[in-house]
Amino acid sequence: MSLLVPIATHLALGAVLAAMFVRYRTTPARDALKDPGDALRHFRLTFPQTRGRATLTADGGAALVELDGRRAVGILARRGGRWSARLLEPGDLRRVAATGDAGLRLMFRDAGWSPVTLLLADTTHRAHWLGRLAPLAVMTEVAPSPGAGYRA
Amino acid sequence: MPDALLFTVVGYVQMALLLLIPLELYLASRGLINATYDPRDTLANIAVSIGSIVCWGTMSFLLLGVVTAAYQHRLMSIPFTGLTFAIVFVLEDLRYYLWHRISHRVRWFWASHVVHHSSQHFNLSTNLRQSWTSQFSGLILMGVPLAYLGFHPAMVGLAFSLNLVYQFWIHTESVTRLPAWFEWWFNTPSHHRVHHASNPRYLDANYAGVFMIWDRLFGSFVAEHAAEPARYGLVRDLSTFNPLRIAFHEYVAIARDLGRPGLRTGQRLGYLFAPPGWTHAGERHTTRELRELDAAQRGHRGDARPDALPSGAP
Ligand SMILES: [Zn+2]
Repeated sequence: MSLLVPIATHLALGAVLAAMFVRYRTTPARDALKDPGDALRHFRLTFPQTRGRATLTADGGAALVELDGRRAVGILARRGGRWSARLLEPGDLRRVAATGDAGLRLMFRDAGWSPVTLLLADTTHRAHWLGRLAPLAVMTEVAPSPGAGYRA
Repeated sequence: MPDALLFTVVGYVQMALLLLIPLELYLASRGLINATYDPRDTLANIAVSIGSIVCWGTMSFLLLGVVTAAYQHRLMSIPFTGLTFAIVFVLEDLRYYLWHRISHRVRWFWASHVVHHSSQHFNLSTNLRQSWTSQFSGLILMGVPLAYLGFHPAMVGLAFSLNLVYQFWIHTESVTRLPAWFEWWFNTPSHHRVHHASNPRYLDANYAGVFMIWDRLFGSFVAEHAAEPARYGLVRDLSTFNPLRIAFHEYVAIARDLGRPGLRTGQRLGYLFAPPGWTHAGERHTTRELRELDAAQRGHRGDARPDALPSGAP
């Protein structure tokens, strides 16, 4: 069977599903984070023993987490209808830049995260997190932390 | 060897199965079944599937060359009968189990298979999220033994295709549990939800294709627990719908790790062939370590797989 047949079938399927998504409005609820505690609760689903303080973006669609006693920073971001959490260790960021009024644009060294723009509440928050995240764009050796409870 | 018509029929069955995706989406949108679809996730699945078809289709001569060469040096010639096909179907399912287990436990092979596990959703369209690099990873060599034994490559290919046809319907949340005897012998949506889950207690479990018996025999069976719903996706979440990132992100991660300064040869080999999550300095956890940490919190040994005992037999 030519490759064209399954490819054409997939394209037709994509068109049908796209139409159904519009017709039936099946997009899952994109709940915003209610407060820093809510952000930590989501973050702990991936990193169960996290202790720290979360800063929400203005729309509640993401949060940065200051982890107690660690150089790394946690980030929680909504992608579609799900939350993704990760640690930002030294060297994990390719670039951090201020954007717009109070935005931060993060680009990652690994391919698993697309670039993300965080719109913070104000320029004070932005300045704080820019200062906190910029050093993480510099590669340094990561100290081992066995038993920290963070997931691989 | 099997008639070419059989392959045509199986090919059309595979495409017809795709119709179940809009059906599941429709029934879910009406609240008639339990299924969660996210437009961007689903469309990413389709894009990844097209990439997989192109890579598989254009590179299938590699697999074909390997198994044909093995068959030319076969130990005996096994005819295509109902009985021999039943035997090769079971043996091919065992090969699938071993291939699947290796694909999860060796990072180089995981870099290929991770694509299938990268969605945080679990519905029939998740089935489409397939690897782009399965022809290159080296595991096509696992096709050699059956051909060398004397099963015609077309027979093995047919068994493999039917295996994949079976696996289509198990990617769903809409089926809770099936009769106990069926759950004991066969792979089911419940068992496969566990396989796609990133909850520590569900990691590295239920590698079966069709027959659940392999997981029960080899100690990798874990039952789904109503009290702990599966959280789908990877231990390290992805945050992208870009098909290229989905297809290649783990290779990029391997390259990054190999580029760490001052590594010894053994450490470099570890980043290629140790279980996913292994690092020379121990700052990340393998799935086994995660299970042990989780089990310690629950108060039992992490390597114990109580569900693997035949207590669940019908
Ligand atoms: Zn798998």
